[in-house]
Amino acid sequence: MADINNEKNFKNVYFTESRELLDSMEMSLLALEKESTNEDSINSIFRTAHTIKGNSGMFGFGRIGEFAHVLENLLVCTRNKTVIITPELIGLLLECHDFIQILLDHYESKEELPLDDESESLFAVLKERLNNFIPDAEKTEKLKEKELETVIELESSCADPDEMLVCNDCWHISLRFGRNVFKDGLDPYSFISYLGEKGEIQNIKTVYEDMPYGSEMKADLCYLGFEMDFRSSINKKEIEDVFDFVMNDCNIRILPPKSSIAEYVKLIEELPETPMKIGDMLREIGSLTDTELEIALELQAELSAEKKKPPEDLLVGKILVEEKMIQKHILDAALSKQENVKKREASDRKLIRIDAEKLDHLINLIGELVITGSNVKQISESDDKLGIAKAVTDMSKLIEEIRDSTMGIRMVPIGETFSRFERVVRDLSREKGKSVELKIIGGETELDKTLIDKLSDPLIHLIRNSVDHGIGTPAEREKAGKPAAGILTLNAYHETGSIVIEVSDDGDGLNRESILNKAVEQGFAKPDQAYTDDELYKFIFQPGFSTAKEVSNISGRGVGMDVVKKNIESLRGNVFLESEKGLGTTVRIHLPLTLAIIDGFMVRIADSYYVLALDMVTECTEIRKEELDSKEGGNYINLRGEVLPFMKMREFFRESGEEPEKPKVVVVEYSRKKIGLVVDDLIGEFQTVIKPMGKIFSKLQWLSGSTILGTGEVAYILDVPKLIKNAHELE
Amino acid sequence: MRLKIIRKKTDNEDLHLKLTGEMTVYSAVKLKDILLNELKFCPGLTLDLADVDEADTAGFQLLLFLKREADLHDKSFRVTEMNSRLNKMFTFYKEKI
Repeated sequence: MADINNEKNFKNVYFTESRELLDSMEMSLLALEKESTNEDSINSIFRTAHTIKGNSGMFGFGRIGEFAHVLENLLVCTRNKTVIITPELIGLLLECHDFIQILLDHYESKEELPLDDESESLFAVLKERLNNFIPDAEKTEKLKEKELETVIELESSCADPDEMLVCNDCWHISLRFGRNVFKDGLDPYSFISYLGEKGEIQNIKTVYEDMPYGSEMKADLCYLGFEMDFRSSINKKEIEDVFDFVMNDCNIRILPPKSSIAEYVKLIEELPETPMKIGDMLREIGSLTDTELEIALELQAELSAEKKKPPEDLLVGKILVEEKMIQKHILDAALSKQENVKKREASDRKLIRIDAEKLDHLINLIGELVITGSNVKQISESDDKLGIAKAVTDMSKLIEEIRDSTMGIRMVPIGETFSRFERVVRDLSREKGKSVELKIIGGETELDKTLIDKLSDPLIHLIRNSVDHGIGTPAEREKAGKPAAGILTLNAYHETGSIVIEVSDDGDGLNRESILNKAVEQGFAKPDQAYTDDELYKFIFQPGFSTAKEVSNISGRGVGMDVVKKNIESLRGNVFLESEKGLGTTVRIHLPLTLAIIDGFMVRIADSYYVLALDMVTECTEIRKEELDSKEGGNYINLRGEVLPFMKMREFFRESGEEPEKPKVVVVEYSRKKIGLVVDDLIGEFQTVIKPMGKIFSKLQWLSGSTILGTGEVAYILDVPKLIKNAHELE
Repeated sequence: MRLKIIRKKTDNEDLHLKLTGEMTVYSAVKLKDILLNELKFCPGLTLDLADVDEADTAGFQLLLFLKREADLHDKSFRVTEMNSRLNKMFTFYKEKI
């Protein structure tokens, strides 16, 4: 198993590396397009193709290697300057780049499966086109024939002998007594008849094939075994317990009734999705007892010594079935469960690249923590109270620092992703006959890596929209008195408790009339009603909404903004639209800083403690009860002349009991909206590790997780963005 | 060890033995030697176990063994009477002699 994992790991590295190579190839190609004699770019593209070719061969992805080889042939010519770089050639190379990406995706997800027809034909076409670029003299010999694939047949599963052994609702118990049972003063009869009291022995058969003949047989040794069908409601462990005394002198196999096989399979399916060893899994559901597992593990060790193989090669599951401790059905269910968990793990386990400096910093801090730790230990043995306090403060300061830098490791600057869109903008603007320049601001803004990955698709969609609908053709633009080249800006920055990403263009802005007309046409709006900009823009996020006059292959099919919105909301973010006629459109995405550990702010509501993300807390204030109660027509307070909606958390959570005289108000802000939360008491800042809520609680709306306090009590983490949204919807 | 064997010859030349005492692990070795030896020199063996007052699984095993030996050498092996303890055991194990 270890080998398989290793191989998987290597392959993962291969895929990650190849993707990175492709990214740099794309950059170089785009650079080359601007400056066609840039030798560095040419060399870098060549190196990419060469490395991909080499690696692909090594990992057994021959087809990718084959393609890269043809590509490399052409690139050699560009290096020798026998082929001149033309825009046409760059176009082709970009297509090849995309195709390699397709190949990588294919082999990563489907491994050995052959390519589909579409890819196969694209493969041939591109190869042909590449070869056409190569001058005849340079043409190298034909590629070797594809190696024949050998099919290794997996060990077929053996016939199911268990079927015969089990009668429908009976346990099958198989006993083989040790030779010395009689001499030890034990009588199998007493055990078996005791078992008979626990249920009903349906069938019993004595077996004594091992008993020698004639004078060889020693009458004081036990050669007996019993096979029996036992009907009872007791479980496996209890059956085993009956034979507790003879355990060391007896070989016992207990197979569950058919009816409970189904039950075991169900139990296996219900096991939590955590990686588990087969043995542990079976033990958990009660189909295997501790003793059985021990025996099996011993057997595994013995066998491995015998066959001089590492114990991992001799699967416990197989031993269990061979030794008739469990049925094959159950093992199969457990195995497939294990496989599923592993698969999920593998898909979760992606490699990320970490800045070496960040890692060094972290290691440094850990080193210091170790020193401080031993310091604390030393001082704590003395009576120096002050010293202990100081050392502990030092240590918690270090822990905080470590927390911050550990969290930082997952953070990646978004600029890398932004610059990848350069290609999208290039291809699109060409296709549309437009001239668009991509401007990137705040590329150094750091985001959680997983967040960035999930943002990529929605962002591409927004960029397409801007290029397709937002920015006009050079002629149109000049008519409007704007420079011919449009500017598309990607901007990222931090704001209270959230990260903001803006996609803006300097185009014509949204057309109110056509949105309204379309909305009326599609039944979202009424024609005679006056809508504010915000209300109108909301229609854009409706599924199926599109204002494009003609459907292009880029956008206008009405599948889009609703998906963007859904994607962003699944990341607990929000999307906003701002547009000014003639000046352009901005789509703003707000995302919460989702980190596993947050600086929290703890409050008390009735007897429960709640934690808010400190980032979102802007201020705290005190208020008299009468001031809250005497409001007419809505929950608003006056905060230094500002109207602030508030929520009485006590009422919200339907807490009973005495209200405090002076409730406190915590003002929280998210995506430029503020509300006040009225709570009983403020506890203060609190470093929190967010524990996700279990599956059962996934429907709970206002809580985003829980945390465990130093006292062992549980505190809930309030979902501030949702609360704010709720309060503003109530308006 | 309490064991007594009474030899009787019956009409059909079978050896008829009446056992008294215990048929347990303590007597099994001795009993096995005697009975196996007797079986060798007679065409068939008939046992009367009515007066066996103690028996355990070792005794049960011995009877199974003798039956198998007799079958193997084409001799008859019968048990005419059995005391209640042995009887119970055979019923329980669902075996017949």
